[in-house]
Amino acid sequence: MTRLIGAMFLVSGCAGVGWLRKRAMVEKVRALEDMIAALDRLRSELNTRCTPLAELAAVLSREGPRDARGVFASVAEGLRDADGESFSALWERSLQHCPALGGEGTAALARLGAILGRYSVGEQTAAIDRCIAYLEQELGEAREKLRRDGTLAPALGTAAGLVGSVLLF
Amino acid sequence: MDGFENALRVLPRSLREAAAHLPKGVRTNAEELRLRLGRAPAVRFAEGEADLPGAGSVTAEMLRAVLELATGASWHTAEDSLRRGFVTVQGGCRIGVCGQAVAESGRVVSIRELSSLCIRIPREVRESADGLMEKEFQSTVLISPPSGGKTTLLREMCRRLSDGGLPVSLCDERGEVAAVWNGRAQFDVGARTDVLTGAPKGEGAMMLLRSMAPRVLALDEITAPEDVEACLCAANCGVRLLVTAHGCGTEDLFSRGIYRKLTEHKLFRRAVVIGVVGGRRSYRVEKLS
Repeated sequence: MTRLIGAMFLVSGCAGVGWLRKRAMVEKVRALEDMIAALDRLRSELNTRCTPLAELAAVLSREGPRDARGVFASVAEGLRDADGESFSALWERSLQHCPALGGEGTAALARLGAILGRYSVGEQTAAIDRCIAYLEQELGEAREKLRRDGTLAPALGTAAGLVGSVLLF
Repeated sequence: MDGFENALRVLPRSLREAAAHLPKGVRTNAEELRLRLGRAPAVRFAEGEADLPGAGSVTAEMLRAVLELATGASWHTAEDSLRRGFVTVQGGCRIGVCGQAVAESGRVVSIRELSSLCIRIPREVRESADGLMEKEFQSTVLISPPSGGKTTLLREMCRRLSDGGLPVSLCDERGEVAAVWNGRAQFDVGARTDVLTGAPKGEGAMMLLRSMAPRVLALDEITAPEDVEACLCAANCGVRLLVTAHGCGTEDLFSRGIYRKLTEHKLFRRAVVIGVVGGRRSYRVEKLS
């Protein structure tokens, strides 16, 4: 009986790891999609209305794509407090509110923070375009990985748990 | 929030901490903060300038950070005024900008490689107009060299005229007289004062004449021929003028080309010449015939 329970624990544990892996992939895809949509809106607002970043961040924190809201809420709050922190530092700190973006995506966005708010509208939108292009490439790869490994990860986890159980017990 | 604290809000952390440690007396009398690349930051008073202790030298990054904070990390919203050499922030604090001007077809289109910034600290000085108000207001020009206190006096005279019952229209091109933010004036310019912010004075004056039916039209720093034309037009409409201009005195002012027209048309009946004696401002009233 104890062996059976142990085996069940091992199988469910390994299957859980597989499911968590899949969830991370799904979250990354969603985070990238949402951030691209938010950047797209940022670009449009800058182009058409020359909106100040504080106002834009406040709007995106309320009405923006779900996974990007935390980032823009943090930016809006930082700009409102104006405690002397540079925008690029504030932006980089705010990106931590969306860990699902992954290292590469976060790094690309951090580079954008050095341009936002500091240059003309044309230069800012060009930097946003470059960032979107990079994130879209990342998104393509993340989708492909999800398609390829999305079902495999939980299955492999479960299988590894079963094999482990057989070997151990 | 007082003027000095407003000015602190645009400083990066290192400078802000150094400035925040200044004694209260220094903070109260400070009129400008001066940041020059490679030099120690300085505080300017009516009687002179003193270095800001403990702040080190000003770096290019600090200058950029000041403009970033001043524009709320939105340089693009201030491009027009930066082209004219300044940006005004919440609270009426005006930041003058110097650096390498980028010109196209003979016109400045941008400023890069910032070299110095002048952060002006605006204040309400209620006693500044004591003894300067007359029973019946006559068109008046306030004259002083730059940083002489013209804007402060203009603000106070507007308030007194307005609270005294006259409808005043104020064309606040640089937003530092009334410091309007979200539609509300942050300085008291009077209960009957209508403020138009951001419009060039010549055009703004005409808009106010047409739309607000003022008895007194107030303009800060008339410098261009269009400003003078607007003054002439207002005077012909029976509106009294309250304006400021750079100069050392009436003779100096009216000897200059564009202002000569004002004397020819006898536009102003009174001039108030502002001077600084022993670190305090003095006001000399001259009747103009």
